[in-house]
Amino acid sequence: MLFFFILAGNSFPQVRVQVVSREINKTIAWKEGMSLVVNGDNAEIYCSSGFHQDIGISMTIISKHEERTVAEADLEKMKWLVEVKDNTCFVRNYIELSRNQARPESALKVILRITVPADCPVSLHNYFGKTEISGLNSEVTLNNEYGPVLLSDLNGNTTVNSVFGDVTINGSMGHTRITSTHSQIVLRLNALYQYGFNFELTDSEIIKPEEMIIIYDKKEKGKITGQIKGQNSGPEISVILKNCSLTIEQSNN
Amino acid sequence: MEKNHDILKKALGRMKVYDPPEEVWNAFVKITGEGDRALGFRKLTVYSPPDSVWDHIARRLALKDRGKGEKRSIAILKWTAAVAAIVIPFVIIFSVTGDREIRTHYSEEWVVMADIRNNTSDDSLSYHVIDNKCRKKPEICQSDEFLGLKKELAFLDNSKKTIINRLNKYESGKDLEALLIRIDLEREEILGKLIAISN
Repeated sequence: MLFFFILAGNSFPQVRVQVVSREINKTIAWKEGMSLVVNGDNAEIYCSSGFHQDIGISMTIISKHEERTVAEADLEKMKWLVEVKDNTCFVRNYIELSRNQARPESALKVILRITVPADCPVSLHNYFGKTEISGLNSEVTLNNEYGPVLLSDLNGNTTVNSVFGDVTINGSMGHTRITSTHSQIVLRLNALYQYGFNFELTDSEIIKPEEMIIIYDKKEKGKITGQIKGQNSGPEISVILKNCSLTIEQSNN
Repeated sequence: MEKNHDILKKALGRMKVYDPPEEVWNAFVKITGEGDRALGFRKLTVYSPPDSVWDHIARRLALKDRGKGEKRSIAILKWTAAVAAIVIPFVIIFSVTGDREIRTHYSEEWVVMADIRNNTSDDSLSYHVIDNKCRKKPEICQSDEFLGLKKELAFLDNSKKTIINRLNKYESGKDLEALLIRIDLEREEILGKLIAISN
């Protein structure tokens, strides 16, 4: 009996929750010059190149609560929008409360899977959620707060701004600019030595292969600016970091 | 038992059968709260209007046969109303959820409740020490380094609050908890530096 009570006291409480999910599927016809703008809140966003010449959007909004009525009511507070305006496709999810409406008690999450033609420029802002972007040849801009980021094979110009969001880059990249604070940045690149790197690191550490030699422009207390020359005029990667760690390594793939 | 049972059964048997799409069944499950359709049907509300209502309908229809025929008509109306009671909600449900691009699903799962209260730490003593020292040596606390660290500390405090507000007891939030640990470590480091400067 005593053993039972000790065991019960140490275990985490489990509860049965009602899961209400809403799935939204949209397909937007794409034409040359059209771009995609995504604004996510508490969203897991997966954006990749698709086989079709259109933008495919699959959004799942999930609400979890012990009481189904609460889960349902909170699900309605998570609004979503998909619209095309002036050659831009906007995708957005956000919490909207009417007057005197309480904040959601349920665990609300959005999973957003988007496929775009590889040449479609993408601008994405995510707040509290994982972001993965892969296989694009277009310009990509990502603003991210409080969520991990995985970027793979982005061969156009890429700009990443991240606060409290670890960024991992895999495969091959075009010209890339990363500005980040309080994050761990990992660059795991194919043909690593073709890339040129520019650094501006404040209170940040750098881990890199020994063969890569940093040419320092400035090295003072807590601040480093410098560069690593790339071979064969490969793409440039600029990194501006504060309170971060930067790891550069050759990809094994 | 219904007097016109056989006639009605035959008539209902000749009615077209429609298989509603999945959205309708999902809405049916939502309304009845039953995954099992047979059990769900039993939960549908059965309406039995008083005889005066039926009499009124019968009078308005001006039935020729006011004897046996009237009873039969009323019985048919009753069955029609019963069928309508089942069909109409489906039509309404389908019109609400009929957009094939939007589907709603229901399920249940067991989750381990997250203890979100564990994420608050008390640094009031450290702040108190720093404030006291700054009162005694205000010039030190006006230095660029000190002010920079204080600004960074305020940013970390703010970020911590933002993250805690996002934690939910029904979601594990492991990524966010890891972030909170990182923030706490950075805060401790900065508090240590601030105390060291002000000494």
